[in-house]
Amino acid sequence: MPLALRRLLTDPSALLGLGILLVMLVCAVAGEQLVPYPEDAFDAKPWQRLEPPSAEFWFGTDGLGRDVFSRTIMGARVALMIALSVVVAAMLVGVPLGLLAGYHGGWLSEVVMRVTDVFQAVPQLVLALAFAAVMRPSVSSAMLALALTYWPFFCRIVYGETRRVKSGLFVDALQAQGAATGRILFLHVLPNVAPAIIVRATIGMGVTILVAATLGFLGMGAAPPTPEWGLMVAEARKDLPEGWWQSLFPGLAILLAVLGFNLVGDAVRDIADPRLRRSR
Amino acid sequence: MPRLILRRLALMAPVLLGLLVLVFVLTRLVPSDPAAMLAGEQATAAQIAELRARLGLDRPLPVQFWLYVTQVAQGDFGTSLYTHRSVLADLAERIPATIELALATMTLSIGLGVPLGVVAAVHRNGVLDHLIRVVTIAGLAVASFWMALMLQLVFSMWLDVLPLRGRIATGMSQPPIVTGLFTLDYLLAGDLRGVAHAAWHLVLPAVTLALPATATIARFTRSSVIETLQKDFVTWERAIGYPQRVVIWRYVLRNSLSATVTQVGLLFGLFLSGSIVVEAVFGWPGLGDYLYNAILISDYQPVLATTLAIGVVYALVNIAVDLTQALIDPRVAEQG
Amino acid sequence: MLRRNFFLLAGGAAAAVQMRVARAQGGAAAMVWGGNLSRTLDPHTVYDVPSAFTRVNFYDSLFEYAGSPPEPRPLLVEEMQASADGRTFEFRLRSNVRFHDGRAMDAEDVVYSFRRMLGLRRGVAPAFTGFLKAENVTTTGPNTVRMVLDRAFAPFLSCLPMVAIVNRQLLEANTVNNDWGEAWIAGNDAGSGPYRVVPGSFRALQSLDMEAVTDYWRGWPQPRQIRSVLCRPVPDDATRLLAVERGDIDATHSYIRPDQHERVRRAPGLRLVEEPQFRTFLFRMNNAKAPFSNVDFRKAISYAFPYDLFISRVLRGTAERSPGPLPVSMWGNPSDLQGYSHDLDAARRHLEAARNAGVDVDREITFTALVGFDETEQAAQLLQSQLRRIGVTLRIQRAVWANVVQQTQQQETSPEIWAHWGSTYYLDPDNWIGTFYMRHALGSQRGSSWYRDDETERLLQAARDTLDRAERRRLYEEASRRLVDQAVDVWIYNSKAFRAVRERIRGYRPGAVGDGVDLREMWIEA
Repeated sequence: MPLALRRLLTDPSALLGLGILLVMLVCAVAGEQLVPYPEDAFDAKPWQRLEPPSAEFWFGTDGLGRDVFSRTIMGARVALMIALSVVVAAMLVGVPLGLLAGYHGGWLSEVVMRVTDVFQAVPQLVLALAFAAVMRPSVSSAMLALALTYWPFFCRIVYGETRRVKSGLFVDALQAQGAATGRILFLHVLPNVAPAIIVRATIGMGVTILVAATLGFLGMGAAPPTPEWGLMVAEARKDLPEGWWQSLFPGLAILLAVLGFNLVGDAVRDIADPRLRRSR
Repeated sequence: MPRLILRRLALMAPVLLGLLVLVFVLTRLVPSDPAAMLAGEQATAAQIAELRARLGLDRPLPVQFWLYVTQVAQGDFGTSLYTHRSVLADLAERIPATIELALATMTLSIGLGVPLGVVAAVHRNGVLDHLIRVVTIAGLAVASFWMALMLQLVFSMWLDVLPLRGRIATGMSQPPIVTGLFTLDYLLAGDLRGVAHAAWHLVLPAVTLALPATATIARFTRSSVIETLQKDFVTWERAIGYPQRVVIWRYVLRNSLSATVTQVGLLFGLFLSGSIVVEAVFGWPGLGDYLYNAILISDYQPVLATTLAIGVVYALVNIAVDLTQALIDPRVAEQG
Repeated sequence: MLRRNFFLLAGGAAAAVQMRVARAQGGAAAMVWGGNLSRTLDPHTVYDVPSAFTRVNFYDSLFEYAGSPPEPRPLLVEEMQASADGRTFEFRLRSNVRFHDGRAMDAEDVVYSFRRMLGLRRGVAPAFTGFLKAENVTTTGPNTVRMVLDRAFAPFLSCLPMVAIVNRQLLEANTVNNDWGEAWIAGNDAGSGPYRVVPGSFRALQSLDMEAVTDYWRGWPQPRQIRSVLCRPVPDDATRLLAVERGDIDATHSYIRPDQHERVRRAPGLRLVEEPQFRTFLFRMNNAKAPFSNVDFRKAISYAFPYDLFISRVLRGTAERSPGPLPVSMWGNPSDLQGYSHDLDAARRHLEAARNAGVDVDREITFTALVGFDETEQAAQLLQSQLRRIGVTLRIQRAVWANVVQQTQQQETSPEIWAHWGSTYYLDPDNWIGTFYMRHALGSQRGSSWYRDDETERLLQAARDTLDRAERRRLYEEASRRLVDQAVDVWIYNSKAFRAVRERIRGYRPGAVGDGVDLREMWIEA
């Protein structure tokens, strides 16, 4: 791993990505301490509506007089929280299912794979919208809708990788020695599958930020006054073209955050799993 | 090959049925009463109950599903609760709009993505390569709803050179519908001004949607061209004195094409999810816009029908991609 | 390749400019109306602001609103006799009225129209069902109609313009499954008005083409009539104004936000029309549901909203604070009514009182904002940020109008608190106070406060029963005070309606009710 780390640190685009993610992490952890108006996460100040960017309000103010800069920075936490929980939840469901299905084969794998087929029969956003519509809009419903529609991606990858690893000789040897299935799966198969999972998870964080923001934009994600980037762009839309600053900056934040994850994901892919280099 | 097609089509059916079950259950979980909605503002409880019985909404869920499936099997996709129009008629109007947008997007992204990829590969690790790389990675990171708004802001609102929304200007009459693709229909009607008009309205939505697709295509073209360039026959072609340009466009690109084709399926998924927001922002009367509005007002019949339509189109595109790949590279067919 | 792209772009830009020029020059005979469309053209089942546009221009009614301020005046009626007790009305109809299919209108058409309206029980019906039964609308001759009311209803004549008279034969020919022709008329017209539907052109909520009826029985006051009207609603707030600025549409809906007023006034070729109708804006609270069933809790909410900031900043002073259920300048509104002001200390006191009365004031409450009407969401967020200070958590969810209407049919599903405008349907205090707070309104969006109070009911019913204006005024003032004391809803402002209209549209006069503009009076400046 030290070698991998060194390679990561010498790749300029990976460094850029890491830098972006670091800034985002700081914003997410210490948002309130960094911004000039932390109360603007929820407080409306109608006496200072629609102020253009200035020394006082770097990114201007929105239709309710809230500082767009403060809200954009504080939005990092929401985005990161959604991305992290969705990816982790999707992995917790998808990885074990993929391992089991890939290892056992037979009817179990048939069932699991047909279910993932169903979930992947339409693009994720379509199903996520249908799931989100069932719940009242909030950050947690968005997370649930995304996690419920994202696990099949992990499941399929792990399934394929597991089948590949399983055909390797050492698994047969372990089985011959009478090792327990759980032990084989978690101690021997999982570490071999891990690189592929890590790569997909990193890219998946970026994808999830995009889809979550889209849900927010369509009014099926975060509820007001949450400083969620997609919702901020949606609320700002009616003030175009005069209040352009309200839409510009949250959108740039999305771009940067996703860019960070994509750059790091690319680099991790090149290092962790050269075989994946040519696929997506 | 025909056996392959048949098998893939046969596999499609259970998956689509599963999708229908999933979405059906979801639409019934929505806290909204279709009967009350259809009955209208002043309906009495008795009127609503009567309507519920007529629609079969008081039956157990599996029975309702069975009723729905038999109805769909007869080609009846129900009526919108909101517009009181047949869902099938709505879809027939909206699918061509989305197809037209898809075709424009695909043309744009292949037309831009392939050359970009080739240029990047030829200048591997040069300044151009890095530049293209940054642009393509950023292209995949842009939220399409935001891109759509920013393009509207700059090109429609500030510069006023491109239309803001819609397929044609309001007040302009539609072409006589033959294919449903306005550019083509105007052309068939011999109305060149109409063609220009329709094409002009396509620009912003298509550019928005093409951005991530172009990025993907460029990246894949780049890596496959690099790979091909390292192969023996290319070295040989070069050695016997073919100019670089000919070698690349005639030999290398053809060999790299199959890698690009595999991406079309993935790109189509990107397109379909992108089209939901892009159609909403640009007021493009297509499938995505229809689905979003139906979900918003919990109008369950259009939601089901549109999801099914998207599923069918998505599956067909993927099958077509696999077949094309098999044609290009027969080894795939053996595995298939 | 770069160069080719450039030319492509430049060529396209030129084409765009040419197209705009072409648009500006040609097609002067058509007006593009950008106001909203309803989901049906049925004049009886929907009664809202947008539907007035099609109803007034496709159909005629017994009475119409005319003059300023608008008063009900006979239209299809040539002569009317009313009994002294205000219960029996005899109408003699004009003989020269023809429907669009050429058939002459007779008394049977009027009876059919009223019975259809009452039978379908939707749209305008609630205004009539309290005092008029279908069997009491009868013909007394080929050209005379009698209506006998169960009890006197003071605003009766004011309500008559709401009922479109439809072509009975046409509807009967298109009736399927006893649906009163509802499926057919949703996309067609059966009227006698100055315009007709271009067949097959209606797409619910999206588009409609209308054409002038050249031999309209009232004639055309303008020599250059508008022959063709294309309804092309622009659904989103963001692009509506741009569409009218560029001439894609000739008029917007009448909810132009104050933030945009200056822009409309400055834009060349555009003017901002102030429509002098009363439109109130209020938060409805579900009085039947805890914690809103507690009067102190409702008062806490009423004291928490920053009325003045909202009106002076968000609305830029374009509206008038309205402390009670009636518009301030409407007769019947007590001139000394104080109402509530923004006072968080008072809000806290009432919240404490509610808590002491055993109300769970810590429960999260839900505000339903209307999709497509961003002002409702802004108001909700303002309330949210103030309530936060007194420790009340408000969550905001968005819903489409049609869904809210459906939710308000039942007490349990009705929104806890939501915002809407009380538009003018007939010019009488009853339009706001009677249709909102009387029992018969329960189960419709107008009655979404789920308010039940015997004394208020008595006052409002008495005001309907008497024809004495002074007595009615006294009754409405008393009812207003009572409603304010009980903090039934949060009444915020009343305002004019604002619409952007292109200057080439001449003779535009706002309709008395909703979007009900009379297209006959308008022409297009070439």
